[in-house]
Amino acid sequence: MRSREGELALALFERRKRAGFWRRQWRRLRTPKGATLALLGAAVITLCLLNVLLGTGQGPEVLQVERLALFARGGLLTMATLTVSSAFSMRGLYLQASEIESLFSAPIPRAALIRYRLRSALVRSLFGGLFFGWIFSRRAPEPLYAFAGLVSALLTLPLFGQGLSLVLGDAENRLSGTLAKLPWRWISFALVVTLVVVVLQGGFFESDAHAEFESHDELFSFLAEHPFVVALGLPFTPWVACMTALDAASFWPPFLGCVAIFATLWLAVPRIGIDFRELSLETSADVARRLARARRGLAANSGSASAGTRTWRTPWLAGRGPFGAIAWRKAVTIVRKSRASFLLGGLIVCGVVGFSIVASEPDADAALRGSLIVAGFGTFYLCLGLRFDFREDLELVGLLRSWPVAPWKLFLATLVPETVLVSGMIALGVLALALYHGSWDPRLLVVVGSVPFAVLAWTAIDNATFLFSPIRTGAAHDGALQNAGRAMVLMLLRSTVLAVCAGLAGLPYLLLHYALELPDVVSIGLGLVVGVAILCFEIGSLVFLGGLVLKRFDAPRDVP
Amino acid sequence: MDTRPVVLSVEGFSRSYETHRAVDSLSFQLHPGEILGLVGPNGAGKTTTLRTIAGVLPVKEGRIAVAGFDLARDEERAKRAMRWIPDDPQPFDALTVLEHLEFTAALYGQRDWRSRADELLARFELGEKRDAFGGELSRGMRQKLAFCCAWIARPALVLMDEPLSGLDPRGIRSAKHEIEELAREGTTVILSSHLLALIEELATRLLILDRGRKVFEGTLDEARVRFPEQARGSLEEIFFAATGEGVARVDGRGAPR
Repeated sequence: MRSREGELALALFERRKRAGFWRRQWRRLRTPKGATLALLGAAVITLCLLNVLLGTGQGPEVLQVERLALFARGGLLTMATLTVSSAFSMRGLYLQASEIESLFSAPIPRAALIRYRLRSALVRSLFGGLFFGWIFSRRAPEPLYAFAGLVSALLTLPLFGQGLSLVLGDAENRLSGTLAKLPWRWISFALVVTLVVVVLQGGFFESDAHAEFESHDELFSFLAEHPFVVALGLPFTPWVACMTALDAASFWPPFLGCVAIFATLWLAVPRIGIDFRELSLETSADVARRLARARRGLAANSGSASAGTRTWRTPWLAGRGPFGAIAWRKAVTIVRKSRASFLLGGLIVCGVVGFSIVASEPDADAALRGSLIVAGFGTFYLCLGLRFDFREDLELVGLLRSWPVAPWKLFLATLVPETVLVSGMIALGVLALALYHGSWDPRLLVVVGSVPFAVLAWTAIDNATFLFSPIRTGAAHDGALQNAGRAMVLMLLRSTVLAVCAGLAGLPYLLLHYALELPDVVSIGLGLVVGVAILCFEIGSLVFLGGLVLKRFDAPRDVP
Repeated sequence: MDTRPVVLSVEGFSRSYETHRAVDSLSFQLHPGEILGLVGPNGAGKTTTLRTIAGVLPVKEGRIAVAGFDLARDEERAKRAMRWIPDDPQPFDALTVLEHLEFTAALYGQRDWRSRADELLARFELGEKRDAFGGELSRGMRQKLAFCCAWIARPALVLMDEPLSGLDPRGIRSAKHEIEELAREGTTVILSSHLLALIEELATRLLILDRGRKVFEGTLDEARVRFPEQARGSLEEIFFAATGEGVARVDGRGAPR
């Protein structure tokens, strides 16, 4: 009786959660901003979908059965690998941080909790299954069978993954002394890498490594019949048989097998009699931490300050006043928490520099071209990827606002460290190019000198927009439609403002050189001075605007 | 007529969230060394009031001046005169405890911060944690660090929202002592808390809010005059009488019905 009550309560909880989700969506759409961004987002997503689904306007080519089977096996193998990898890192039962304490302490049987979790996972898989099933079925000789096969496979995988998570958790509980010390993340990472390496290298092409296939069909036949491929694809046989079935007689037996596997897992996984609570708490806390980082825009590019950085001292480059203190605080955070991001950024800049060096002989023009590529690509990548500004401080903007500093100064001081670091990295890249090419063309200085303006303008626009309408990004965010629309608006705004700023700054030189036909020395010198003054004015205006937006920031109203 | 200097002046301050009036036409003044106990039921507008005075939320209706500086027109100087301790202080996770003090001192223009930082860390029992990152501190230690940061800024006004949350008994006693010391040195303190015994012990004045409106302002003695039925009662009884939560709604055993 009690067990039934628990199940009913969970079902009610799920219904309420769904209703809450749709209410939130509806609330977003009711505001002019939400509706506009959703409309733009829907347009972007529709265009992408149409592009994927319709290609160039003609229907996609229907694949031969062997080729279809090969693709199906490959796809299922990839998804199974991801599922296994995820089971290694997320052992136990994952529940949201907000749910876990109340659900674990409630009089609900563990099996009911597992079923609740499975239902949530199945709903998500169903959406994925419907989408991929539709795309896949368009290339199958019998679309309906292919669709049913793929959907059933994608619905079975989460059950398998959950079972594996629980079994692994149980194994860890039993062998906690030994297994708990193992670096599971690295093990799962190594598994994935090994699989990739094995597939790509491990004896796969040895016998016929240099065989020349006269047609794609021969290549596909070779792959489909290769014992390695056959062995890897063996576990997926029933689903692949469904997807490639040509008639009902060849579809129904494997499909019933798939249904039986699904039903068995659905019944068996909740009955795995283990205590998953401790592992689940760890998993949920870990996921919550990652989500929190993701929502602060830091998923890919920020970690936590490691103990080894305690003694690192960051100089107070902007002085010991309030402005310098804010810039210093941000610089310390970047230095201690974002080493990996800057290392990656540095590697990318080095890569571009290296490519430029390899691709051209030492020459002054090549140095300029390379510098422009490094400056353009570096600014684009680093500004897009690094967010060590207000976007990582959303929770703290309230506190920042209580500081005794004018909003524009607070805005500028927060952006300066990131600007200096990005500009410094690009300047080093350009310096490397100049050294290699032996070129000390003054135009390189103009390139290097213009980077801080571009970086500051870019981050100022992004941050002003963010403060005007803050957003939490990352997984489990239910405003995806608005986010897509917002990204489009931001891209347009950024491009327009940067183009106008650069155009206005370049205008004096163009006037002096082409309209007044003054000598180069005069037109370049005067153009540079006036251009820099205009740039300073433009950047100042953007910073002032950012300050105004920061001043109007109202946490209860603006923080999502 | 009160001739003492005014540290905080709030005149006709109101704040709405969409259709909800969180604070309605609030006015009061505070003088140096006063400890104002800000109390009220949940949703009374206490935190909104504190966050607006702190400059976290913009002033939309009314006027707030700190140390004579209008918060809307002269925001920077007004903020320089005060320090805000939220109910759950979040230190910067990449700054050490000592660096928090260094940073705060620079932010509030305090040059001789080092010796005072050492003294404060010792007073608040954070000496051993001076090199720990903000993100490594427990709830109670975060609270103590927030106190140190407020104290090092030497403000004229300190705003505290539930300042004793997370502190152990020893920490609570120490914090209460430090708050009294701070007021004795002339700093004005606003203390918002649901712990009425704490308010009763420390506050020199009371401000009771209910659904955004001021229902009482004055000393505890004045409150007893205003609510004669609770003339010998505790602040708790005065609070219930003032907010209409009512003694009437509490049965003979003291349990809410």
